[in-house]
Amino acid sequence: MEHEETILSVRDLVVHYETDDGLVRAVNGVSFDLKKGETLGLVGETGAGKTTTALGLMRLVPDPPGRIVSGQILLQGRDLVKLSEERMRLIRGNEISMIFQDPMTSLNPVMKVGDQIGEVVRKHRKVSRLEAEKIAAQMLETVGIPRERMNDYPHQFSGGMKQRVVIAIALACRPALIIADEPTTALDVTIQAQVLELMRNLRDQYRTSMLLITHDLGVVAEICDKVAIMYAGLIMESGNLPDIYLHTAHPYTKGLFGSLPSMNTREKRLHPIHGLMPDPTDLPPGCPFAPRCSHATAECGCQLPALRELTPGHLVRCIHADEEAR
Amino acid sequence: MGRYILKRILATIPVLLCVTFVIFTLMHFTDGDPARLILGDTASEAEVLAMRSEMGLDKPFLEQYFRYLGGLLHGDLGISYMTKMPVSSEIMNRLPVTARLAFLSCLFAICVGVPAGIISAVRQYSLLDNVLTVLALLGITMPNFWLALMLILFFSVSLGILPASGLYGPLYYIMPIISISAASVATITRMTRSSMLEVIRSDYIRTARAKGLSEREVIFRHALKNALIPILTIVGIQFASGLSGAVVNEQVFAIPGIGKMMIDAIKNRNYPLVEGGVLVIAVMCCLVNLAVDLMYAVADPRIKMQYTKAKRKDTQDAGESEE
Amino acid sequence: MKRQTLFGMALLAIAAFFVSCGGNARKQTASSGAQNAATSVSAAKTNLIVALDGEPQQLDPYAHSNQNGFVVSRLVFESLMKTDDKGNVIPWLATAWDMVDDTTLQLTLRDDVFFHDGSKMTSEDVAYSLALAAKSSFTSNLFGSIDTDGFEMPDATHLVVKLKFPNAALIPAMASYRCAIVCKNYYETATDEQKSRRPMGTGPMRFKNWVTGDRIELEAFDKYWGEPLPYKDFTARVIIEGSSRAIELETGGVDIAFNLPNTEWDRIASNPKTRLISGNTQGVSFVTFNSSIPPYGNPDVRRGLAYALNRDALVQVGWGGKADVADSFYSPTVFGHKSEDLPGYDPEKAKEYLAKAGYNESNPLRLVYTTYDSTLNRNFSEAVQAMWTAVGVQCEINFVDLAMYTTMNNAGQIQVSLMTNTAVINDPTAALLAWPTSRTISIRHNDAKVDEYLDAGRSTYDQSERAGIYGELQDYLADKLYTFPIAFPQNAYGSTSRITNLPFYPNVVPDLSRIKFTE
Repeated sequence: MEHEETILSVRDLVVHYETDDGLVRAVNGVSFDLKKGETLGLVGETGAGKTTTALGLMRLVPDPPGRIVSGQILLQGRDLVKLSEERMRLIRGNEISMIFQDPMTSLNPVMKVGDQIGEVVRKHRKVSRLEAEKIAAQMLETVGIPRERMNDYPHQFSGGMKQRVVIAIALACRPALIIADEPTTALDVTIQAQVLELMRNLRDQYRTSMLLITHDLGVVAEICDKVAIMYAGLIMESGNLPDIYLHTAHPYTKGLFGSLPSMNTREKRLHPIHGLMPDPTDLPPGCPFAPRCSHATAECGCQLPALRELTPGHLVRCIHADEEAR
Repeated sequence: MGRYILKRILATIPVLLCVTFVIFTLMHFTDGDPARLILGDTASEAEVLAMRSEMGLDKPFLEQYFRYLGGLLHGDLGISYMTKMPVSSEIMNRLPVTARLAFLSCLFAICVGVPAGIISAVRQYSLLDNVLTVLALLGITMPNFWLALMLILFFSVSLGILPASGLYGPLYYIMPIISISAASVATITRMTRSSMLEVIRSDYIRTARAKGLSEREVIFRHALKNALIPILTIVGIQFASGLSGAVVNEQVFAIPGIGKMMIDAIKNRNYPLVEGGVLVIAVMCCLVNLAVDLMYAVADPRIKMQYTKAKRKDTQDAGESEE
Repeated sequence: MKRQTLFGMALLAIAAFFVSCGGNARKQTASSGAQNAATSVSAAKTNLIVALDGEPQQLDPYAHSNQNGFVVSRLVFESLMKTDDKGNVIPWLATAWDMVDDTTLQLTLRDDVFFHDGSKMTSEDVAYSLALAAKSSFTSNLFGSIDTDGFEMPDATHLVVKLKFPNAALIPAMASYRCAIVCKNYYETATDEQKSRRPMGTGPMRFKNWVTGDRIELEAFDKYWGEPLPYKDFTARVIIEGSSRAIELETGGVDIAFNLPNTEWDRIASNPKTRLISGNTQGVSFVTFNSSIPPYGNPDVRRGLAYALNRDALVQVGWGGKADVADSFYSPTVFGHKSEDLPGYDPEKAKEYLAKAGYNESNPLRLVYTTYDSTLNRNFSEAVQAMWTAVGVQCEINFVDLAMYTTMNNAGQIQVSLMTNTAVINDPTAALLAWPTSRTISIRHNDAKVDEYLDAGRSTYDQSERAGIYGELQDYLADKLYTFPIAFPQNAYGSTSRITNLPFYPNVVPDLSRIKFTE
């Protein structure tokens, strides 16, 4: 796959929520790059900060109580953090689109699906109503839904088909970047495969960059070019597929792989990682994974390790990673 | 859809029959002799018995009931004991006034309550929201009677810009409508507010924002249509309660409506008038409920599908098996 | 915390606004009355507008007893005679009358009277009307003495009326508004609904329109035999709420407002634009004891219960002071009234009499006081309950609605209650309507002597003899105390200052054909 320019460049993004129970440090300095046509998989447990990162990119973090504290989000050169809300609206749905997790509730129940697709087209393109309808019908066909169903309502579709409509809406304006937040988690397994296949085809067809948020390592292997593992609002390890899958460096990532049941060997019990993710209002000093890490030393709890490059493109946030890398 | 409407209309008939039976029974087995009430204390027992016979009250209960039903089938609601006018004329003289007031109050409540609720929800916890909440609380808790009198004292006696009673022109409607709709405005405001707040937290609103729509487009095109559906329920109820709320206000504003007529009819044991009045009100409420249900179908296509059932099911099944 | 204090302050502010608004409004005079008159149904110069406290159900004079109805129908129908300001009977539709003997009355009628449909009034109409009056259960107590088969009509202007028994109250009845001359033709052909809703008489105003629940409109009758009235149009508006009625009077929306609640009297009286017209009615309110239910047949029990009541206090509590303590069994405004020495407030004597009847602390009298809901009854019953409890009686108050009350009353099921009897005409027979043994209400004294007195008083035409008989009757009733008179209620209506010649009518049905306007 020929990759060219860098579409998205995130630098030290910090997002906090100010709640009555305390300051929730959801995202604590996340950085990554995305080239044109590339797909980055953002992996982590629930509560790692993946969705907040995604919302942060779209500037859709609910404010109050959330806030982008610092950092840069450079989309094709412009810093989205500094844009006005009006300017940002021109970008949402147009240059960046988002596909959310639960297709059952992502569509307006009292609006025809054709209109919901047409709406985003008319917002960002100067076309007449009829033109928009034509484009919407086309998009429906593209995602594999017969265009006769333009005037149906969301409740008349199954879960998988609803998600296809959501995809159609996201792609209608040919955005440069799509953020997909666990797009197949709520679907059953057979439909998952179909939707993923669709997403891959469309990505290839339109050369869209994609940020895929998931906790499913299998999905990542199917569709992503690069992977970033998130924990407690920080990226713990990132690299391309062979780096992460074959040369796993960070103890946390190893734990994740280790907890997957194996097809080959027979096991009586699963091997989860002991302990829980730390409370985001009360993060420990030093490496946030240290309390759960079997390789942790006293040094780990003193200072937050920085990301270091093990091999070109393969970054790890761990002072002991060298010893473990195979 | 047409079949659904027809079914609903037919379904009201047993409801109305029940209503007539319940009211007929209640009236006839309540103490108090209408003949004695008409003739007064000075009449003798013999005169009272003669009057009862004239009124048909000495016949067995079921015979009286079936005679009454028979009359209903011919559109004859009977003759009022007190005025000797046909009950249908008595009711038609008074009902339009009350119905008009109830309807206008409902309309007013919606026109004021819905925008207030939207503002409250969109600017949650702001000063405006708090003020509107307090006003809503006042609207619900202020005794209707007191509010009516206060309005009269302020606008008629102090300021002299509105007439104190009667219904002789547009100006006369202002205070009664405010008084009748006060509680409704409050309820609709609160309902709209909470419905909007709930809807605004929905996923599809997030989708709408992610499309790059402006806040106004999100509120009016996406949130409002969904938020209004529970409010439709309220509207139906508010109309019915507007009918009854009119009673107190009719007394204070000296409006010739159906409320006072019914109260007096009950006090006087004016059986035909009570039975006729209740029946007419029941019919009105049934119609309003039907209208509300139909509006649901217009507003929410999921409900419309439920009403028309079978047709869509095969399409949905086909959708399940994907290509 | 900050949000809640803001809430609280806002609530207080709004509450304060409303309270002060109400207070100020009450003190201001209706200076905007003139403006209001333009927007409401106008009190124009030739239009008389009155406010009734209730809607008449019908206007057929022989089919109802509703006071509000008669206020209106008094302008539509006329009686054979009238009474002048001093109470003397003067000719009206009848130019002359002569009691030839005890049971024969000769009437001479006017020759120039027309009904509103244009037909001429004859002796046939008068005979027909008197027959109706005699048979109607609403007026049979006044006109029942008339022999409906005994009329003689020698010609169109002469009528001979035969009585079944002598009745001194007949002439006063014929001079009252209860005597209404109706058109025989109309009554024989009209439906019940027409008779009740489209009255047709000989009076100066004829029926124009009845907007149910709202108002009744009359207009001047151009062929009226007498003096035309100062107003061409008459409207009776129904305004049930007392304060609303008073406000309409103050703002000039109506010229006369009837039955003002006693809380409004002072304000109307002190307002220079309005006049308060008040006085003693022809009524009396009394506590009744049901002599047919033990122990109320025992005179000691009745007397004991009477001594327990502080009537000055009751007048304050029940009528807001707008009544006089009763000194006899009918109002002093009615002929033949005699002041009696009734039991004053003496709890010790009350206990004595009750003890004589066998009731004391260990054996208290259990009394059930039954009444219907009204402001008067609520206040009054609480007060008497307290007074009777103070002398050791266990008093229970039973509130029922008016219909139930009427049924119970006439079935003789009520033990003790409060009744008000207002005489329709200024005659003792009307004032003593509660007393014949034939009455079924819960007094049931079964005392034939009372009937004797009543018959004797009615059959004598000699005024001083009548006065003597009624005086003896009042002495007798004061001795027996079957009922205990409490108060002579007052009543008031209000008018704007442009109305004159509207005195207080003790029967509270004013003759509105007599009023004049100031210019």
